[in-house]
Amino acid sequence: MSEVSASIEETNRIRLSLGLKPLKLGVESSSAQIAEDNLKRQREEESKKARDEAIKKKIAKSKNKRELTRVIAGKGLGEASDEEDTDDVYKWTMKSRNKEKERQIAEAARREKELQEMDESYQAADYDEDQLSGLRVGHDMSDFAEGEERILTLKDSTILENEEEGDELINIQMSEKQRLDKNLENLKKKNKPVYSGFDDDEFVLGKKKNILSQYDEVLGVESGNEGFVIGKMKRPQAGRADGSTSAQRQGGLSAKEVMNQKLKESAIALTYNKTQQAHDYYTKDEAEITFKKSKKKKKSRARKSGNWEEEQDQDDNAMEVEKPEPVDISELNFVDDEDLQESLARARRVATKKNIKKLTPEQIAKNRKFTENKAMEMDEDTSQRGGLVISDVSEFVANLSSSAVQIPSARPTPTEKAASETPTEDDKATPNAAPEPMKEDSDMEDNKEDEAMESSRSRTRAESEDVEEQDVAMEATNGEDQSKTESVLVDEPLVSRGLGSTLALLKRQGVYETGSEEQAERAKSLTEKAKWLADARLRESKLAREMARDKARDKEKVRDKNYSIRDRERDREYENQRREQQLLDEREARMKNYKPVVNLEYIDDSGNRLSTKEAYRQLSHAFHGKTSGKMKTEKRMKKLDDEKRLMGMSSTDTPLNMVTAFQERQKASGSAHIVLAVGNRNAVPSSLTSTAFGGTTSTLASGSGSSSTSASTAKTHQSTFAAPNQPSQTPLSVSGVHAPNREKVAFGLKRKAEPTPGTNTDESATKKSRS
Amino acid sequence: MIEVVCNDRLGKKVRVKCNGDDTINDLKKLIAAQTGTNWEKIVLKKWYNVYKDHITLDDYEIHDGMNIELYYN
Repeated sequence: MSEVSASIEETNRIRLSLGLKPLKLGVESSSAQIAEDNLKRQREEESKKARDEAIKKKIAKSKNKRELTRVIAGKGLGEASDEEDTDDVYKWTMKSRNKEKERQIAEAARREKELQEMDESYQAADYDEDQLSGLRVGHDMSDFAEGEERILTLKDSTILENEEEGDELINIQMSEKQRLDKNLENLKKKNKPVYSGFDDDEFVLGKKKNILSQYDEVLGVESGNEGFVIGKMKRPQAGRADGSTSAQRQGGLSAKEVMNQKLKESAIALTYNKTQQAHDYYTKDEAEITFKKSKKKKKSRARKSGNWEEEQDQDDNAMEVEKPEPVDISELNFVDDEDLQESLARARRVATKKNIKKLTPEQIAKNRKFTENKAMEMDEDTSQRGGLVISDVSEFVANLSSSAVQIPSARPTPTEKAASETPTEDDKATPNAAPEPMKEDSDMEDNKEDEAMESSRSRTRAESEDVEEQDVAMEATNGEDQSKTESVLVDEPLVSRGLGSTLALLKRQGVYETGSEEQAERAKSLTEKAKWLADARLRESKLAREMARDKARDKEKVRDKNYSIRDRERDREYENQRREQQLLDEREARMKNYKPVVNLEYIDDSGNRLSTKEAYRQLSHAFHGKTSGKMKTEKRMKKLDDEKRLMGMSSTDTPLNMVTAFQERQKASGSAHIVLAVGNRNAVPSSLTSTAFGGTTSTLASGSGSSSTSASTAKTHQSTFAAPNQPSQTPLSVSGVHAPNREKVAFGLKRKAEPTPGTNTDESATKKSRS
Repeated sequence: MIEVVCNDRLGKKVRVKCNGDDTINDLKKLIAAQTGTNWEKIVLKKWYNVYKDHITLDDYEIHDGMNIELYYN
């Protein structure tokens, strides 16, 4: 297989015939080649530049080095001294001295020049106010009094402050005083609460206070003390002698000016824009101008008008107490400027306050007189009107409990009196106003012939009845009054009057107690239930009677010929329905107040009352057919027994009746004490061993035997108490009592025994032992 | 100038001299002129890539001495 290929010329011919450009001969300069070339060139350039740079650096370095060497060049320290001065000390000293002299001369010249300048400056003008002009003084002009000399000094300040404000003159004492004042004020402020409860501050002339204005003051900045600049004010130049007077004049002038300025500041322009448009939004200042709503004021006024009469009354009495004057309603209605009224009222109040404060002796005397009169009037009033007056006499009288004495102070209180009085007056004034129509109604049915007669009679009757009723009422009120007044020493209800009064007496003495609230409730419910039951019984009987009547009627109807069977049946059905309905209704009505009292009680076989838990156990045992074990049962039984014994126990004695036994013993021995044991071994005296002790009843020998025992005991006591430290020879003990001590003496109730010499000694002995 | 070898593996193998910026269409015409076939019947392939007429040899990265498969429609 051969490869067909054409030469360049042939190809070019073909290309020509095809309309293509001829072949590019030579080296193919592709874009890649160009790029490569470019890169190479760039690299070369860079390397060249770096080389140049390096050369330049090298040159600079060498230059620098040369410079350095040139500075260092010359003689070194050692070299110089070696060469010039070592050989010639004189030269060196001379040179140094010359140098010193030169310096001194220069210094002297400089100082002289300075002094000269100072002299010139001092001599140029004598020191007077002109030197001070332009200096600020840190105090107000009004702080300087006339003819007063104050030493002003420059105020301490930092450099920055000084640059800002310049020098300032102050007097140390005055500034101290200012600071003290400030501190005092701060203290006062701190003590005083911010919100006083009054709105006095709101009406201070000038602009309104800002919110929380107490915090407006910046800490550390002294306000209000502006000071003045010397020489700023116009004034005739004067010498030092009349400086103070000129300053004074200046002060007066400035004060006036300041006043003017202040007034100008606080002035309010009366011109205002009459056609002001209403805007949606206002600035703060604009908003301040608008009217305030005065809700509170209106409210208070309403209240005032409501209590107007009361206040009037109080005003009569309250002399000393300062009060806002009563507001006239008629006036109030025409008030349209509230603020004005407010301010006027305040002014008036202040004025009255002042008057009160400045009381002259005459005024005081007058006041006193007035109050005395008042008191007398009051007394009279009370005697008329009532009220409680407590005095020695009244107290004494009140304590006399006899009901016959009429207590003068016991008068009905005004309201009671009014209540009791008004009906009587009514009766007297209009006796035939209320009862008349009623009587007429009743009379209408009666004969109409003697109407006049009847009416008059009825009137009299009514009157009499009313009077009677009134009397009863009066009595009742009187009784109430008396019970009220005699609350300290109450009349005992008389037993002879009846059972009620007896009960009351017992109740008062605490013998008989009314039950608690619960009990009362229960009793009430019980009575209700009884009542309900009775009602139910009554109703049932009534119903039965009705039924019987209905049946009878039915029977009658049956007898009627016209009455068909169908009709009868229908009627009966209807009747039955009706009756049923009625029954149901009635039952419902009956059950309305039905309130059953349910109280479950459980009782076991032996008749004990069971608690809920026990009852449940019993039920459970019955249900399951088994009971608790032997041990548990025994335990329970024991508990029950204990309880029973506890219930049967006497509260004043031990379970073994020791107290009774002791008492019996004492009675038998005729002594106030009992010897329980004597000696270490608790030996019992032979005379006592025969007596059984500690049983339920003492079996002491009576008669001659007892007397003998008592005598013997007395003897033993004497012996024992005479020598208490020794164990006594006559052992005395009471059987059945353990006594660890050597001897025990029990004292029972002191019984009155026959006064025998033995007992007396006994008593004295006991006293000894007790002490 | 580059030389491209076109082989149809059926007995025709042509060595064509051309420029890099010639299109495939031009190359086909040149081949047609040397082999004597209609240029429209010629399909140039490299594996499964069929060279399109309007794209230059440079764009197909056809360099000097490369082999191109020659097919016929």
